[in-house]
Amino acid sequence: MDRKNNIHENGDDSKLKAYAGNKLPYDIPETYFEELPGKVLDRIHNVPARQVSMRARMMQLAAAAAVLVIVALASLHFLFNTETELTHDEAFSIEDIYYYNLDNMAELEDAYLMTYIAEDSISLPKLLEDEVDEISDEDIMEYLLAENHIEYYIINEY
Amino acid sequence: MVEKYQRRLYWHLRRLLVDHDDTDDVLQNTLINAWRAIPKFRHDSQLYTWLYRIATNEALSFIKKSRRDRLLAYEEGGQAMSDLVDTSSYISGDEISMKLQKAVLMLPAKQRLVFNMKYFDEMKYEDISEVLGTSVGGLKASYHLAVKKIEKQVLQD
Repeated sequence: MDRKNNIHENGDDSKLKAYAGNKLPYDIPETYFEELPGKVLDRIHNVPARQVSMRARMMQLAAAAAVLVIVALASLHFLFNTETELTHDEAFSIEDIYYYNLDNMAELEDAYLMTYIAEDSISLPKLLEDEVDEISDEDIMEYLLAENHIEYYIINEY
Repeated sequence: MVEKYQRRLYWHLRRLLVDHDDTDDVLQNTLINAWRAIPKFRHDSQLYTWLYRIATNEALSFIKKSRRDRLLAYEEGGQAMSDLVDTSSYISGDEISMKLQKAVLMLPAKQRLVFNMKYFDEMKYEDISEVLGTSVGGLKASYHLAVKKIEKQVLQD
């Protein structure tokens, strides 16, 4: 038989209740329960309200507000700071300058042009060096003669 | 709330603490704390089981703050607790009720709480479970054993 089922719902206390009842040997002052609500209310009104929980809550709200402000400022910074300003120099690549010079070569003085082609000490960007390497001496000569801007000088002595 | 539950709470505490003045202090503290905590009451239990829980905790806190030997007597039950009935104020009653109360005070603390709430307050096991946090099956077993112990003492003579 299930042991649990053997335990009566009320723990079989009927015998005890029949003998001893449920009275306790305790007395109370006659008007105790009439006076108790008033005593409790007096204590409630005289006890200062706790400030800690409200203060703690205010601190929490202030911290949350500070975090929100920081996040908002950071978001605004990244949102409006995506454009990169180019300096004046960066606006034109060296390639642009080179081709501009080529386009406007007619305006260059002869001496400057000769210096530009002949001097080995001029350091060109690799792109330009490559392009210059691809231009043969014959091409240069042909250009100079065709444009007839300058007299042809033999650059290299053979 | 005070007028509705004051008597039930008073007798619950008086059975634990025995002395009227101690009971009065703890009951007032219970009602004040309950009034403050009412906004936090989540309605996941009945109001009176919630009040019982506050009252029980207040009584245990009170006993801890008073003499250490009183706490030990409360926890272990036994003669020390039983002797309180003879020395406390506002005690009067017939012999049988005195025997019954002394026998109850001989029980260990948890079992005493279960017995008081079931025998005197006639609470349902489910409600006692809400107050003490013990399973219904455990409460039934505890109450059954408590009744047997008390019967043996009270009916002995």
